[in-house]
Amino acid sequence: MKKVEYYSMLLMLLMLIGWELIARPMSELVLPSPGVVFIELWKGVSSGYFLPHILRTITEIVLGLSIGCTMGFILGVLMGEIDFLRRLIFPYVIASQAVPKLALAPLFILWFGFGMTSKVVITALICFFPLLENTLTAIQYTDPNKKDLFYILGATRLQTLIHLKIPAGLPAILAGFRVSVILAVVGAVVGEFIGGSEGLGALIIASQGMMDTPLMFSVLILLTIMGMLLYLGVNLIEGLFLKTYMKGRNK
Amino acid sequence: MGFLTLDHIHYSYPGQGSTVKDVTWQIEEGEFHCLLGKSGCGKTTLLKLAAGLLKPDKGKVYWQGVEVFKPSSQVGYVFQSPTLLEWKTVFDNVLLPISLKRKPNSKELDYGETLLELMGIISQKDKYPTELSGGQQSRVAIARSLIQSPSMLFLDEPFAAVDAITREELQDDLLKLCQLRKTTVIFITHDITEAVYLSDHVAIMSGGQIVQDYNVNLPKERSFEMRYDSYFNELCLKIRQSFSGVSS
Ligand SMILES: Nc1ncnc2c1ncn2[C@@H]1O[C@H](COP(=O)(O)OP(=O)(O)O)[C@@H](O)[C@H]1O
Ligand SMILES: [Mg+2]
Repeated sequence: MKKVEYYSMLLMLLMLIGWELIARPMSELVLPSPGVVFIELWKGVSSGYFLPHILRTITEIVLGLSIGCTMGFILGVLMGEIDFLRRLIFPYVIASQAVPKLALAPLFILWFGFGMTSKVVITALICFFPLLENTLTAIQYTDPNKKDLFYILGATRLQTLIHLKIPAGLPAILAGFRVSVILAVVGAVVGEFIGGSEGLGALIIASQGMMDTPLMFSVLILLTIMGMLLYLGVNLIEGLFLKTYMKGRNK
Repeated sequence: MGFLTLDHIHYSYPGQGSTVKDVTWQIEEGEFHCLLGKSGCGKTTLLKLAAGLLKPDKGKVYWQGVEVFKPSSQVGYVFQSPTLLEWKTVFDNVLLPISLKRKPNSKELDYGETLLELMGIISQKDKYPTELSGGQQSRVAIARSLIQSPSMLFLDEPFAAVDAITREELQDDLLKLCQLRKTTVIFITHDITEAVYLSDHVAIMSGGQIVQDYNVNLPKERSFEMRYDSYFNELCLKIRQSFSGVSS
């Protein structure tokens, strides 16, 4: 384990050296060298220039993720429980899955303006489907023996949902959440690409306009770090919730 | 009319031929019945019909003279697989039948511990099901079926995953407990000696039907030596022979 981590660090160092070697003969406009990028990154961070943009993008991600996942979870549970509702809505869910949702971004900007609302709506819509689908599947395919057990124990439908179907489906539901988190970053950034003056996505577009490639690279690095932190957060949440499901299995 | 009566029961799964064909079976209060048969002959299906988990296509099931439409909460059922909730500890799994209704009181908590002790898994109390062996999981499921002191027990091959020595201990414990509480039991097994040792009646199932029903005339109080008794072994042999007769 230690050895792998060591080699992993070494690989990063080699990549940085490679980057430097390739970038040296090139114009800063095409490929800035790592040194230049890190100076730019440091300047932006220490002067507080990046801060409002970072906060804006994070707010959009968090809001969109919470709204989208909550709606997806609730509709998934309802559709899993109520047969009529599932058969009524499912064809439309499939149809709306086929629509590339990022292509709807310009429309949402038209509807909700250049402010934060349009980005939150886009992000929420993108996060909605993975959670809906995974929750629906999890609720529908609960182990029939466990359902029989709850039937014998005289559990009500609500009890069966709360004490059996949702906890039993939690691993699948959290797998959907993981997908949603990754898509949320894409949703927010693409929303900012299309309209808006704040946020990391807008900053990328602005740097393109100013032909400031070092700035673009430093924003990309910020986005990468943010994505990794989010991923880490998801791992923490999963570990917290799924601790008991995994015990003894991953030994 | 008996304690539990199956009256000309038929059942088939959707898109399949009959799994249970015209079974009539009468079980009196306090009796211990074993259902013996090869795998796939319909034992589990018949047990689910008897418990009210499945509805017969034809025929009726009566529980103390009243037709059964859904499972009664006075029964304990052990499924062929342990069917434990992975997100609850062993102890919480055992208490599930009570905690679904209300908070267990101290007497019930004590009884839960007594049952775990009886099943020899008290040291696993705070562990999670995924940390247990198959045989230990089955024992948790048995303890759970007993927590409410049901008047009727349905057990679907409960000892299948348990080693032979532990199984003999569990058989004795189960018998003692059932005699103490006058529990009526239907017990599925594919082990002939287990069936004869445990039960008052051994029903042989084949091709969806009960083809024979043997009385076991041994004293209620079973003991280890009886397994080597000549009557015991003759009965086992007779049952074994009736099996080969049926299947050929
Ligand atoms: N849920 C089910 N759906 C369809 N067929 C089933 C189902 N459960 C059991 N069967 C079929 O019914 C037959 C009897 O099964 P079962 O009652 O489980 O037998 P046993 O318990 O004696 O091994 C088998 O042929 C099996 O394939
Ligand atoms: Mg079976």
